[in-house]
Order: sequence, then structure tokens, then C-alpha cells
Amino acid sequence: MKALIRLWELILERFHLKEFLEHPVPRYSNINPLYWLGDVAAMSFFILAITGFALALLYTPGLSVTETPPDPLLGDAGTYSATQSYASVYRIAYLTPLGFILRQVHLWSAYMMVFATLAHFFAKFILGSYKRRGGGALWLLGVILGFLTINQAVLGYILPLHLDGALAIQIGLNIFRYFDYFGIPVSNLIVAVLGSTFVTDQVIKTVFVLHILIVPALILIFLGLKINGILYGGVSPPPIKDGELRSKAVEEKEPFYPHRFALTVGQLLLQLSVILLLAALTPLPLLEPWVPGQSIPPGVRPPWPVMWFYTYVKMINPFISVGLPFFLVLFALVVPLLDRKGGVSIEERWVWVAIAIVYIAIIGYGTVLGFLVDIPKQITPFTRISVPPNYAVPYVGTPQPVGP
Amino acid sequence: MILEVSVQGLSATALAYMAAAVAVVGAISVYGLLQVDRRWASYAALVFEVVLTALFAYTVNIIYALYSAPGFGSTVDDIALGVTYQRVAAGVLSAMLLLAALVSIGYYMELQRREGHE
Repeated sequence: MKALIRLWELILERFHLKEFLEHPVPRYSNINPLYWLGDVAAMSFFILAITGFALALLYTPGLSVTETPPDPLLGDAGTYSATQSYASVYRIAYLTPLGFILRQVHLWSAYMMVFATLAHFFAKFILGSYKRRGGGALWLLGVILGFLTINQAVLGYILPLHLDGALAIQIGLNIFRYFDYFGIPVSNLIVAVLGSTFVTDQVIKTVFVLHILIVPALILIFLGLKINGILYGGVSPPPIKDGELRSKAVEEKEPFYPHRFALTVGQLLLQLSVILLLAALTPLPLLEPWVPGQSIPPGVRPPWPVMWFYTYVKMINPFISVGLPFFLVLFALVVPLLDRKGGVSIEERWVWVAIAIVYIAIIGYGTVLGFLVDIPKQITPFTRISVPPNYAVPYVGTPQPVGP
Repeated sequence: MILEVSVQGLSATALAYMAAAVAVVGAISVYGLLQVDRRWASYAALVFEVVLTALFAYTVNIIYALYSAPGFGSTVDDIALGVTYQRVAAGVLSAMLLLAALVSIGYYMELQRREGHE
């Protein structure tokens, strides 16, 4: 036992882990759940990475059409024509022992990561975390990470090539057609990178590589920078108006180990427990497959992280609605430059708290409405009058290869 | 059906009820004991963890027997049976992690008590 303790101490000393484990953490950040949401998102990312490694070993992207049995969670009969991508995910989810749990954990972790990212963003918005020294840089990293997280969710949603995934790639590639000056070069660049105006083996392979390699690598780099910033710059200040009470709260610290460490381990275990419970009680079906050339039937909807966007695209002028996420991201980026005066307590900056609530309301209203009603695409006075030229449209589903 | 011959174990429903009973009793006991003494809460959690591990191993055993049975996947009913057992395994694992999480967070609460924050 003594030898083991000596070995442990040696590891802590030689790998310089002691400095990390003993770094002081303010007590208010340990006991306030608003300060845990970033941890939940980061932990979800690592759960996704681990389950993603296993899934990437088993998944084979491809468009060759094959026959699969129906999804047992949907309760249909007969067989489906499906792509190799779909058949591959079907094999993982339903024909591999413990593959079902693997896929469900990956899916629910992804949803948890998106939800925690959004909640973390609003919590930090309301707390005014960007107002301290170094907070603006962390805020910028956070906005980039949020954008990458949503992108990663959509890329992952495309991979099984079910009807919803095909809808996601269709929307994703057609999104730029609504911006004449900015969108046309971007859409042409996308077509050049993908090498096609419709889904091919190469396109789905590119989406796969983006999902498993490029976007996670970017997330890892930005996450590393963010953790580094928090480690050396400290966590957000407490939202207390009274200066004396605030400095008292800031000074009251606990060592990371064992205090915050016990909480973080508990939070990770609790998070995994919730994810597995969701997998057991409300498993997510694989949905109906899509085959190349098939148009998306009405009633198919995107996943909830982008549902609000889909709702607004169908409800209002696409020029406004398609630009909405770009506007929201750009606005989020300039918030630290606009909100500079005053303290960080809610009563001192209620205008910004109200703006944060409007932000939540825009996304929440669109999400809920999208699930409650099926909005038909209508021609209204607000609908864009001139349709963009066809040469600018990376239109998915039309079998017209690029080149001779 | 060929799989009925292969799977001689308990039904998924029975396993689910057993796991849920152990999980609920375990969670209440561990939470209750955490208010009294963390050491006893840890011992209680360990006992429930052992029981749940046995249930998990039993369920996984059935899953592997099912998926390695000749002819598995020929009907949707077989696949649905496999999914049901996997859902039970996920539930058991969830209960195991919940108990471990309770003990871990309980340790932080004890540190707070020791340092006079409560």
C-alpha cells in the first residue's frame, strides 16, 4: 500500500499534476449550477469523442442501394430500400450487440451537448461574464464553439442518410442561395469542394470526414484555449452588486482537488446516468431511409437544434429568416463591445438581461412552434420575389453532375 | 422461433422490474445514509453496485447469446427483442452510475460540512 501511495505521489510530482490539482477554485462557482453548464457541454464532447471512435470503426459511408429490414422502434413491416450509409447505421444500431446503446449514448450526448452549450451561452450572457479582463476572449471562443457544435450536430445528423438527414443536407447546401453577393461565391465554393451538385459517395465521405476529424479537431483546439483561459484567468465573477460581498465571495476559495474534483466526477457520472436512462426509456429511432433521387416528403422535420431556424425559414421572408442565425452569431460576437458599462449584477444590467431573454425567446418560440404545427411554405408579400439564378444553386436531389 | 430456444434466461420485463427495484431502493438508501454518515452510504452503495453489476452481466450475457444465435436478424421481432434487452442493460448501467454519482457528490457535501459551510 505504501509503495502504491509513493507511486501516486511520484506521478503527481513528476507530471506536475499537483499544481493543477491544487489550483484554487472560488466556492461560489462550485455551489452555483449556472457555473456547471460549460462542464456539462465539455464532458458531453468527450463522451461523444469516445463513442464516436467506436461508431467510426463500424460505420461505412456510401450511396449504393441495398435492402434493410424496417426500424423496429417504428414498428413497420416489410423491407426498405436504403443507402449503404443507412444500412451501416442499421447494422450498428440493431444487429450489433451493445451497438444500440452505443448509438443512443452518442445521440443523447449530442443533444445534451447542444442544450448545455445554449444554456451555458445564456447563463454567461445573463451573468455578464465577458465584462472581466480576458472575458471577451473567452466569450469569442464560446461563440465559435457554439457555432461549431451546432454544425457538428447537423453533420452527424446527415450521416445515416435517413429522410431527415437528406433534408438537412438539402437545407445546408441551399442556404446560401438567398444571399446574392455573399452566397453565390460561397455556394460555388461548396460545390467545388464537394465536386457535385447532388449527394454522391464523395459528398457523404466529405461530410463524414468533416464530422469525425475536421470539426472535432477545431472544437478541441478552441476548447483547449478556453480551458486554458479559465485555468489562468479564473471563472466569471459572482453576480453580486455589493462590492464588499463580491470581493468576499471571490476570495473564498477551495482547492480543485478534492472539492471540485469530487463534484466534477459526480456531475460526469450523473450526466452519463441521465443519458443512459434516456436511451433506455425514450430511445431515438433510426427513421425512414432516403434513396438517391428521392424527394423529401412533407412532414419530415429537422432535429430540434435547428428546428427554430427551419420554422422561421418557412414562416417569413427567406432573406430575413436565412440571415437570422448569421445575425444572431454576429450580434453575439459584438455583445462584449457594446455592454461595457456598469457591474455584473442583474439589477445593474437589466437591459442586457432583457436582450438575452429575447434571444432565448426567438430560439425557443421557433423550436416549440416547429414541433407543434406543420407550417406550409406560403407565398406571402414578404416572400422573396426574384428567385436566385439556377447556376448559383447547389441543389441537392437533382441528378446533374458537374462537368462534361 | 429459433431465438426462443436460444434465450433461456429471464425475460427483459422481469429484468427491468428487478433493476428498477434495486435502483430505487439503492438510491433512497444511499441518499438517506449520506445525511447520516458518508462512510455507511459508501458501503451501502457498494452493496447495491455489486447487485446491479450482477444484473448487468446477466443481461449482457443474454444479449450476446441472442446476437450470436444462428438466424438472428431474420425477422423484425428478433431485432426488437435484442433492442429490448439492450434497453434494460442501459437502464441497469444508468442506475449503477447514479449511485456512484450520489456518493461522489455526497463527498463534496461532507467536505462542506467539515469546513463549516452548513
